[in-house]
Amino acid sequence: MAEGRGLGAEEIEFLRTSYREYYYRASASLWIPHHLESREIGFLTFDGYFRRHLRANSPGEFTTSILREVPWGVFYSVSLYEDPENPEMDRKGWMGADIAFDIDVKDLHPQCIDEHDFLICGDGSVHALADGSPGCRRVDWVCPNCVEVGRREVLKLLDVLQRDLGMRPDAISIYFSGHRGFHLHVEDEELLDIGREARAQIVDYLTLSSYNPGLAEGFLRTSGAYLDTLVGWPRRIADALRRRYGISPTLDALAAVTRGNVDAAIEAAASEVRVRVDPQVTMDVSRIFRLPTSLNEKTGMMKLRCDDIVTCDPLSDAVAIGEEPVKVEISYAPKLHLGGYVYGPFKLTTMRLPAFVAAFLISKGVAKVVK
Amino acid sequence: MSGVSFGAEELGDLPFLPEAGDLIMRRGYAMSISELAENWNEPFIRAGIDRARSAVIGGGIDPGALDGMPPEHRILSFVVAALIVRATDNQYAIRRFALAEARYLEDRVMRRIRTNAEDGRLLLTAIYSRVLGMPLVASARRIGGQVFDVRLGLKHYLSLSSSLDASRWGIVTRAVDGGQVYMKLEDASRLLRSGIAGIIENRIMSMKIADLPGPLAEEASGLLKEMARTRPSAPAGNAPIDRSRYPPCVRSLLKRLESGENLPHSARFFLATFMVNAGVPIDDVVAAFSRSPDFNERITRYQVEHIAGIKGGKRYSVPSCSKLEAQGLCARDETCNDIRSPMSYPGRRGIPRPDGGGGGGGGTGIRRRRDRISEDEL
Repeated sequence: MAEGRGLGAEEIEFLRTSYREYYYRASASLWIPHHLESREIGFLTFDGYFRRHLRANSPGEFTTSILREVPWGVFYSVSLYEDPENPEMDRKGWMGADIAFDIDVKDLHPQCIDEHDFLICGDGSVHALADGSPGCRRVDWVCPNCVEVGRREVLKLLDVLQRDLGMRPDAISIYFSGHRGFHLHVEDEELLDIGREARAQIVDYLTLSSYNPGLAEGFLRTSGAYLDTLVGWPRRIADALRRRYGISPTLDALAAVTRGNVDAAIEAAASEVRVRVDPQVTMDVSRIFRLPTSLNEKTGMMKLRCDDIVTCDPLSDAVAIGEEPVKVEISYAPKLHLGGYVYGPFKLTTMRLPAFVAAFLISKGVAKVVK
Repeated sequence: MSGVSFGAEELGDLPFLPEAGDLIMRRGYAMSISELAENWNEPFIRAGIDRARSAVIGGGIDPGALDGMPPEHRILSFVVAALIVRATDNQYAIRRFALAEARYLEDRVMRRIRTNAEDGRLLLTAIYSRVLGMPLVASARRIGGQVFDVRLGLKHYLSLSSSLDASRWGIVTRAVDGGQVYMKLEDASRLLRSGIAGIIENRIMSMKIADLPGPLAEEASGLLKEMARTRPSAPAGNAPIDRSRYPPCVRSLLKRLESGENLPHSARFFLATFMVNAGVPIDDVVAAFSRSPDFNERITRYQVEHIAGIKGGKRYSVPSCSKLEAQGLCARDETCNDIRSPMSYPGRRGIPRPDGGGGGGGGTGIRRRRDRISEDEL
């Protein structure tokens, strides 16, 4: 992993030192999962190895192991197991799992991604995403627009989870992933034991992946007076159609206003309504998930809890590494909004930057430490 | 609802409840298992033997056979049938019996609903609350073009529906609001089946039959023999394909199927399309599903032939890996490399493929056509 990003020994050492400082500073406030002793713990090491099937019997033991190992990434299972250390997944003794959702901004396809993501090829040349050739490495970037697009999707997700599926607001926690996405955890003892098929149904409801226009038509086949009684995604589709066409969207009215093209109109509304979560993350209860308050190896930023998703400012608040200046040689970097300031864009330059910016650029494999 | 108690007539339809046992005691039928054998000529004994046989061999219970019997006799016939099935110590027989009994109850509830909707609703809500421990609440709520009779909490709905065909029972097809799933009485009645079957299965497994009287043991061994004669054999010895060359997703599902697990519809559909497209003979595909507790050979054969294009003229392709991932059926391991379809699994080289079979595909084509396949069997 380190090799893929071209990180040398000096860069690894810089990151490890920065991570160590952070974890010492944050040791008293590290987030500890409830039922810790029943979770599988995983560490991504700075050597690029994933050590899974670890167990911590107490918060003290957990924090101590993080301080001792200084991992590049810290993960925990959303599942609770009788024997979390057992390397055989089907022998761990599954007891239940939190429900986790992952919104990756890349899956939402905002235009900014094409503008700031880029490819670095073997000869060090930089290319736009569309101009790539085999052997080039993609570098994902993050900008305020990425955060806004992700935030909007989180708000959609929250609305469905609370209003339709009746999940308790106090059981839901929202996190910025530390890179370019949001995680949403539902920790409700009542819902711990729902199985994989049930989770798949929840994902299907959110993403409308098995939906078809005929299903929506079944709900819209009513008189205008009853449209207001719709609930769930059919209500959202009706609202979207109402906004789009300025009519009360019964099937008859839709047929008239779309000149018979009802399916396409409903499809467009469904596309607006569906919540784009990563299906695998929610369904696969054997996964391990990034620990809130731990640092993300892709950026050096922390996975940040957003108590208020509307006002949360991750690109400032998730900065966790110090500000002391570090001299780095940067090959290429688009504009970077971090810690309340804007850095770059950079191309073949050497300069001093705050450690948290240096850590971001080094983690992305576009900068080297200059001694 | 906990204050509501079932009347004698209702207990006749709920013979697996402890209260049903109390009723037969009160009516003077308290007897041990050995005493049952001493009363071998009682009509309820004959009814019990028939009940076990028609459930396990035929996959259903003839409602006519029990109509007109007093509730205590219906309960006793269940006890006799359950003892015989328990004595087979055969998981398949027990599951199949439990499922047939659950279907029978569902039919009885549906009859009540058709005769008197309010009466049927009361019975249904009582069964949900008292038997399943799931509050089913009367709602009479209009949502869009429909009026729904009852609502059930999301978690309970998911637990009852997750083994059913998602294209009909998935929550995306339902009116869902505030963590409640709204249903008509008929759907709530159908949804009972998997929950009730589980309860009956547990009830039978908890029966202790240390000293089984001769007649009961004879019935059990007769039932096992009849099962062996009528039930298609599992495909292990018949299939022309080395199963170790199947992808891990298929191997894992076959293992679950053979252990007698009731697989979700999506899993059955995938297994059938895979085997058909891998060139497994129709008979062997049908036989592979024979261990499913709700197996019905006629319906399974029809559906497998439909998938194979023998009926309906359109052959179904195997769902892609991404589709299987979305359905939670992917069991990808390092042997899969980067394949996009289970049909491209490296170990599959050399497996005969019939004309035009295989390939990735999946996607919406399958989804659209899937509604032609009913949810119960395969």
